[in-house]
Parts: sequence; structure tokens; C-alpha cells
Amino acid sequence: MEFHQLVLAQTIEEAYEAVKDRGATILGGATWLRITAKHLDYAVDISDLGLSYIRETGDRIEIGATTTLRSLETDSLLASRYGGLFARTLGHIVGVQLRNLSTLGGSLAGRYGFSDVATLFLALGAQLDIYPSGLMNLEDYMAAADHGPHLIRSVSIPAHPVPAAFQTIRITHSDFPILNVAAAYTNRGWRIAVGARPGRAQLAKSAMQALGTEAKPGADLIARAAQLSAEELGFGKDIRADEEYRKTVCPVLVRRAVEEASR
Amino acid sequence: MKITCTINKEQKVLELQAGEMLAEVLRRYGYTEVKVGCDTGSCGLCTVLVDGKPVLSCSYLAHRAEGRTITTIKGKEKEAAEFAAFLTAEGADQCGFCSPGFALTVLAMKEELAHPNEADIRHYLAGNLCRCTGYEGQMRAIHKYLEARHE
Repeated sequence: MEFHQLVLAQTIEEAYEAVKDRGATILGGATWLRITAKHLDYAVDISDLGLSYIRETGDRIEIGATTTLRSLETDSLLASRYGGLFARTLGHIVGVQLRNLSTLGGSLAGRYGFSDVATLFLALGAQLDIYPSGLMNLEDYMAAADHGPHLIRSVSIPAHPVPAAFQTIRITHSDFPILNVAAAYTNRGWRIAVGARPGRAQLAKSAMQALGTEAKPGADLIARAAQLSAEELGFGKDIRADEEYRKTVCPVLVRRAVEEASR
Repeated sequence: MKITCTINKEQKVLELQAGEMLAEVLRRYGYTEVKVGCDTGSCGLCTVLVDGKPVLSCSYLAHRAEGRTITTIKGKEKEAAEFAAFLTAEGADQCGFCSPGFALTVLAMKEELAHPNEADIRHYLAGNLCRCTGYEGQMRAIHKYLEARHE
């Protein structure tokens, strides 16, 4: 890559100014950016902002934007609340060496269709702390067309254990997903996110509603919800699979995810 | 721009362009044991250790190495040679182009995981591709190397 100008931001205000006033591109892990952008006029590096942390804050676990995927995978606090969910979900992403570079904030800010991270965090009801605007649900962040100049400062998820599961289908273990699904049972009911359709992750709201409020829904309810997920979401074609294939696989993964999370 | 970092226990001042990746810079400064394969972050050939953690140097922005400790396979020469003997014995080296990155990842795994089982090893090494061996010889070599280290 080539940067015409690089700003090594020391404060979030400085980083924001570079984005707002000069249209600077924010450097997270830059692992995907380096493939897709060969030249940047302005780049701003936020790796010195002290945003690599995972900590409990009240009833949430707060994760700094520059925390690596490998840190999420191996963190003891997350493991104590979510078991092996993060390791199982993120362990598909290329290899340890890449996951030591890719960051949570970069994965979400890119709103990539292929993202396993976005699907998982969407199901967990993640909330973003965005500079300068404040808190925003990941669901709204994923859905909006454009947010204007901003930086993700941190991401939070419930601190109390949430039964959750992640399912995916891929051509090989570490390839991009053909489809991914995450299901989580929160205080208010079920959340089901489906990503790599190949569009960006979305909640399957009819399916979530169909599951009701019980932590252990019956087989009939799960089958109904799984079918609804395929009917309500849009699917498409890319190099890995066509629309019909994804639509057929979706209810299977949703059923498996809900069954696993409700065990 | 200039950065100061430690490479294989020697302090170095490196001159680089903003946006350059660590693999390009290391090779330009003569660390040609760092191999570049896919150059898209997929194959693991370019693995180096930054502060002890394995990273893809083809995808690591070089300016971020400021103040950090970088280890290439030459910085782990003795341990790498020990492991390489097991690779050779199992016929798992073949063309050898992936070996520097592969061996460094194995050494990093050994530091990070106390007693990795078969699944742990395969998982940890999923980011290291080899187009010669089919991986079975490498797996045998790793198991025997780890067993020998524990004895």
C-alpha cells in the first residue's frame, strides 16, 4: 500500500479531525483494506489510542475497537461468560497470524458481508460507542447506508452469560463463509442473525418472534422459525454459492444454532 | 519515515514509506528468510513474530513495528534447526518454501499452548498453507517434536 499522508493519531479527537476534515481512511487491522486499497491519499492510524482492552463495565463487557480477533478468541473474561463461543466463531477466520492483526472495530466498521464477527455480535445485541455521536445498536449501524465521519471507540455485549451458538457452512475450514448464523437467547427473547447471504448480516425478526420467549422452544417452534428465516431474508449469488443454495441452507443452520443455544 | 525496532535481538533503524508492509521492508533490509507467498494474508509463508506473537508480515503495516521486537526464523535458529530435523525425518520439508513461516508458527504454538492435542495443532496451523506435503508428515513431525521437548 501507499499512503500519501499518514497521521499517527494520539487522541480520538485528532483521529476524528483527520477523518472529517481530510477524508482520512481509518486504519484498524488493515488486513482487508490492504487487499482492496492500493493507494490512500490520507490514512489515520488509531492503534496508539489505547483502545485494545476487554473489561467488565456494569452489566456489559466493553471491548475496545482495536482489540484483535485473537484476543477475543483467547480472552478469559469472555470465555467465563460465553464458554467457547468466541473461539469457535472466530477460529474459522484464516489463521492465528491474521487474527493477531484484524481488529473488532475494523471488522464491524467495514460492514463486510462475509463477516463472522458482525453476525455474532449482532445476535448478542452489541452496542457501539461511536465518536462523536455516542451509543448506537449494531443492528442500526449495519442497516444504515452511511454514517458520515465517525470512529468506533468500543463495542459492548451483555456481561451476564447469554446462551448463544454460531453455525456456518464453508468450502474449507478457513475460507470465507457461504452462510453464517448466530442465535442468542437474551432477557427479552431470541435474536437470530444471518450473514454472508452474501450481503451484510441482518436479524431474522419474524423467526425471532416465532420462537417466543422461552429459553427452550419446542421442535415445532424451531422448525417454524427456521423456515421463516429463509422466507424473510434476501439471498444472493457470489463465487461460492448461488441464491437458492443459501436459501436452502439457511433454515438448517438456524435450526442447528437455536437447538445448540437452547441445550 | 524512520522507525527503530529490534530484529533478531539487534536494534535497527529502518527507513520506510508510509503504507509499506513489514515483509517488504524486512526483505529490503536483507531478511530474505522472510518469504512472501500469496501476498494477500492467506498462506502464512511470511509469518514473523512481533513481540512474540505470530503475525503475517505481508499484512502488518511496517510503521507499527516502532519500538517492537521482531523475530524472523533466523532469530530462532537453534530451535528451528531442532524442529527441522523432525520435519526432515518425516519427509515433510519437500520444497521448503513454506518452512520458515511454518516453523515459526509451530514455535509460537509451543509457547502459547502447553499440551496441544491433534485438533489444537491443526487449528493453530490452519493459516499455514503447504502445497507439497499434504500436511500428514508435518503433523507427525510436530507430534514427535513436542513429545521430545516434553521428555
